[in-house]
Amino acid sequence: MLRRLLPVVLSAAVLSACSPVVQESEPNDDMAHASRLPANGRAQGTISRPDDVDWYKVAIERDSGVLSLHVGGIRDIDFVLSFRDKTGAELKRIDETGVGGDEVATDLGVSRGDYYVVLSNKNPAAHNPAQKYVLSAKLESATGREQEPNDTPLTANALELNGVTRGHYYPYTNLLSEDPDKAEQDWFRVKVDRAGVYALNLDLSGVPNVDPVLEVYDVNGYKLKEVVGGGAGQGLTLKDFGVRAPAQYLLRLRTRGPRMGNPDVFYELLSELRPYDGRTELEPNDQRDDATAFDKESISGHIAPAGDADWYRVNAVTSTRTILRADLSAVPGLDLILTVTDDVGQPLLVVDNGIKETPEVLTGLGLSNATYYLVVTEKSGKAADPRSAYTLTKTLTPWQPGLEWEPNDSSATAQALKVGESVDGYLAPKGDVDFYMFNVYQKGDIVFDLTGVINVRWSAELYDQDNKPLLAQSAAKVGEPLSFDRELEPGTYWLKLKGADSNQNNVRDKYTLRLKAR
Amino acid sequence: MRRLVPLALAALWAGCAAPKPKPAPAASTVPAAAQTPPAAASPNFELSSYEVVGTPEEDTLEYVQVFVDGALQGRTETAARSRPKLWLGRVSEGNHPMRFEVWDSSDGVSGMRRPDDLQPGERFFRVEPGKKTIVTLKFTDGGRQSLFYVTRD
Repeated sequence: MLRRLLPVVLSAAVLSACSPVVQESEPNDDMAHASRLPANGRAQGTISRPDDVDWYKVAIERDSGVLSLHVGGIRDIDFVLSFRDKTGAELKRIDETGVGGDEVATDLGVSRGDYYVVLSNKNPAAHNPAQKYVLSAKLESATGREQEPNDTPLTANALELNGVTRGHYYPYTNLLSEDPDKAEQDWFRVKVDRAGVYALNLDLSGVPNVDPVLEVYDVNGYKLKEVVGGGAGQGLTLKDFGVRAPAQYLLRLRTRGPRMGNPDVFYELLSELRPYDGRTELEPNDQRDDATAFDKESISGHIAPAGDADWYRVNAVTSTRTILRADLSAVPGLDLILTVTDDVGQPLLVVDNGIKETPEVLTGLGLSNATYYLVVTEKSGKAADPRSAYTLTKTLTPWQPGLEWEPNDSSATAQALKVGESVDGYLAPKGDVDFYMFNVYQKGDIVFDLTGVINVRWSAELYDQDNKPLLAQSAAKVGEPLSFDRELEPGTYWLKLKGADSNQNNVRDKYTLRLKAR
Repeated sequence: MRRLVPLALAALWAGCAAPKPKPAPAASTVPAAAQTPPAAASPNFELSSYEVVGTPEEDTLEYVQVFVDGALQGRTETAARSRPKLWLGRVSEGNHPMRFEVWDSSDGVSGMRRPDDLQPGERFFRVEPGKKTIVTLKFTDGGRQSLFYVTRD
């Protein structure tokens, strides 16, 4: 940090040493009698009595710039620094220190013309008419800089897209607000005119003593997204925010707590706007209506901020029976959950097989509607490291006879099977139960053969058409097959398969169930 | 000759009373109304079929054919999908495999059988002595999901 600051401090010291110094010329107690303050220079003056007010005029002779002001504290005086436009209207007021303290104004946006700086004292008992204060001004290029005042949506600065914008969390409070305790905030406007869909990435650097919050609003003032930093001194990242241009958004940058700020260290807001390629989520996609279209084979996303939920819309072809499979990669430090919902957002299946830092697999879901949603969430409500994206991959395959058709978790949704046929399926996700229905047309001995799968100790129950339990069988051990037979009268029957323990499942290996008449 | 006259009359009567059965015409070519069988006397089996539809536009006309032991026994009236459609019939006591076939009727007259994957699977229903078996068949998910509710009076 020192290394970064050293050149700035040195150059400021050199500049201030070399910059012209002017003396105030009393009386300079009002706008009409303002003393001159060079845009890159210093002025010296005194506070001759407690209610003395010193006006300075700063003439800006370039089209745009940012002006910084600094007044060094002197004994007995509690400075208030005010910055005004050519009409005298107050643009910014700074009063962050007490008696003897310096006051600093940063990032004051200016354009060609006159501005005024007004110095006053707040201490009624002040008596230091002899000691001179030094008021310094520094004018820099406005390119890539915040330009105060930008404390409201109306005064938002245009954000430089695909570039860096620097600014300060300073002053701590906005003294010109109706609420005098209102914390300082910086507003930026993101305007994209060229029609298309874009992904906006924002990366905000950390600043000592500041815990930042970044919010995104639409032009109506509705908050679309809020990203909270990881604590004081930490930066934050907003990844893959969807921009459907032409569009305009507003960013609000603020601190998480009161009296957080830093006049010495600027923040850097790095922005990247790129055409959307369908391979990443588009935030906000925190609810069904805002779901990101999942049209390609895979898509990546971030669990950020904490508690984030990412919705993806999957469009299925309804003319053929299709099975959806989805694989969700692991993310360091997180325990991800994958939920499948129907077209109105009702959960159909929750996939939470693995522990922290393990992938999740949806082994297969039969699609019967045109629209489904995949929702990625995190179990503990943590946020991911911004660099750690998950990848969600989907496969849509035509259903074929002999394959399980989920959901088949109840007798009402049981999958029909004929005696003499077999079916391949998964006992997954965790807690899965598979029902099969079959008819017996002639009295006979029916044999049930079920292959073993790792991590599952089979439990099978047989019910007649009146839901009367006829038989219950379990495999001897985890991973072992299960085989049994039963003489059955003509009728309809249901076979229920599950793990002996509801935690048992296997997303890797299919089981095969075969029914034979003997 | 006199002895032959009663035989000839009997043959004539038999011919009128029991005409030779004709092969059933394809349902798609026969007006739906013409296919509605007369209600059975003292029925002991009732099918009520309806569908959950999403929009009024989807609430088109349909009817359901009833097969018992593999043979067509009759059909419901033609009505909107969401409206319960009834078939009342007499089925012999015992456990019977039954199949309910859904036919779309775009004009309320002709019929078009839905594909196999939109038809409910065959299953057994038990008809008990002295009781009426009532089966309610409910379709959801555009007809892809079928649910049976069985009660007895």
